[in-house]
Amino acid sequence: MTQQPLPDSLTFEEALARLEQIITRLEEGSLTLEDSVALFEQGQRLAAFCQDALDSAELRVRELTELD
Amino acid sequence: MLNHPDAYTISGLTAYIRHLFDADLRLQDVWVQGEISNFTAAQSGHWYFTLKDEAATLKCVMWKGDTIRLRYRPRQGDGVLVHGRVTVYEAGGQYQLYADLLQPAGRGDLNARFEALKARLEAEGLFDQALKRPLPPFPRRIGVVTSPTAAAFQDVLNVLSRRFPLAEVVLSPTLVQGDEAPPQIVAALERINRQDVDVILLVRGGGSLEDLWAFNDERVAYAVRASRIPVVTGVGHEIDFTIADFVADRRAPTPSAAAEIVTPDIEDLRYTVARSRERLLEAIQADLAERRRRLEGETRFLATLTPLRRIESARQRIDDLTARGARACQQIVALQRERLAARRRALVAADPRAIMARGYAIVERAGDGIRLRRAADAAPGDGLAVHFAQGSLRARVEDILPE
Repeated sequence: MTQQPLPDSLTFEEALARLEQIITRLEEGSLTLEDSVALFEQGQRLAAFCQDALDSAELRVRELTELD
Repeated sequence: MLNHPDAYTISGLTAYIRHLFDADLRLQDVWVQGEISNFTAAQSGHWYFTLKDEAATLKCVMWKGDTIRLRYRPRQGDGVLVHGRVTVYEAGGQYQLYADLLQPAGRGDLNARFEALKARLEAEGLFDQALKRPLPPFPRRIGVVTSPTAAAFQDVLNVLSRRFPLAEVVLSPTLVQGDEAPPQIVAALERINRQDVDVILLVRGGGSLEDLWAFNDERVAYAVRASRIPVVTGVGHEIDFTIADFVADRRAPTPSAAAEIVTPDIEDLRYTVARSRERLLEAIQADLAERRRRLEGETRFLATLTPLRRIESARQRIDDLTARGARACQQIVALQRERLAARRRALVAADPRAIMARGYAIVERAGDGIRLRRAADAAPGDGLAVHFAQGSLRARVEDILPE
């Protein structure tokens, strides 16, 4: 399995949900060793993504105008 | 100083006066109308104020337990209708009204309108629990319908910055007070509904019943219900309930609380992410350990199938046979040795010297040395050599005896 980069549009919520799925699949077992290791690596990237999202988050504010 | 035998203490006299008040049933259940002055809301939640008209004043107290039930917060100069009981405050040496109900005089119509609209919209089903939609657990965009200049908006931003800065806030500005407010709120709700937001906060800070009246407008109520996006209201203080609150998918007691309700706490999320990391690591370690365990099991099983085992057992058989062979050889040698010894003993027994030692002698004819076996082999006069086991002698044949 090749390393899939995380999509640019990934949101924190999606990343957390996928991380949860990966953990569940790993905990269930019955994968090939290659799949297990690939999932683990993907999980690590997702966890790092979530951590980054939390550490670097800054509230953005946009105001609608009459035109919106 | 002279003591008068009948003099009261101050406490005694005051207690007596208080008793006169408390015994008067009319003073225990009284309505009074007047104008508010010197209104003080103490930190404790109790209210202290004076009621007055053109000619008189009346000190009043309202305890926290009663004030928190009021939607209305009186202000200087308000005409009010108050219910309570009149008694004496002994430490202050004054009588006062202990109020338990307080409402704006001549404003009963607002309350009546509120109740009428509430009953009608409830009958229309606008408040049905079944219509309440769940809130998204992780709102990416949060619509806020309020006045941009209001403290309420700042409160919301503060809470969101602290709790869930991952979100984007989309402000749909509107007036939140006055006659122009209801149509503006409706328009602001419609505008935010055209945006890609996950939840809407409809908020306004605290104020009087009139201040909050825009949120008791039926146009606003229908607009909240028509929103395709879940709406959370946070209008006024804990005690304030508006029609919009009843229609909303969720009512929060204050603007800050509304912001809290729609967001997860970032500290919880940090914990969740950290915990996920641990679980991920535990899962892969357990997975690898299981594989290792299986591999060891298979290896052990494989070992039982190897030809090495058969070679080893053949080798052992060879060792066994070798040992048995060696033992057999030793037995054969011992047997032969035993037989040799027996022969040797027989040979020793057959030795002529041993026989001669028992009294026999060998006789040889002198001259040719022939060993005589029969008497007839000799003739009278022959010389003989007679050998004994020890020593020999010469003899001469005298006569041959017949057999």
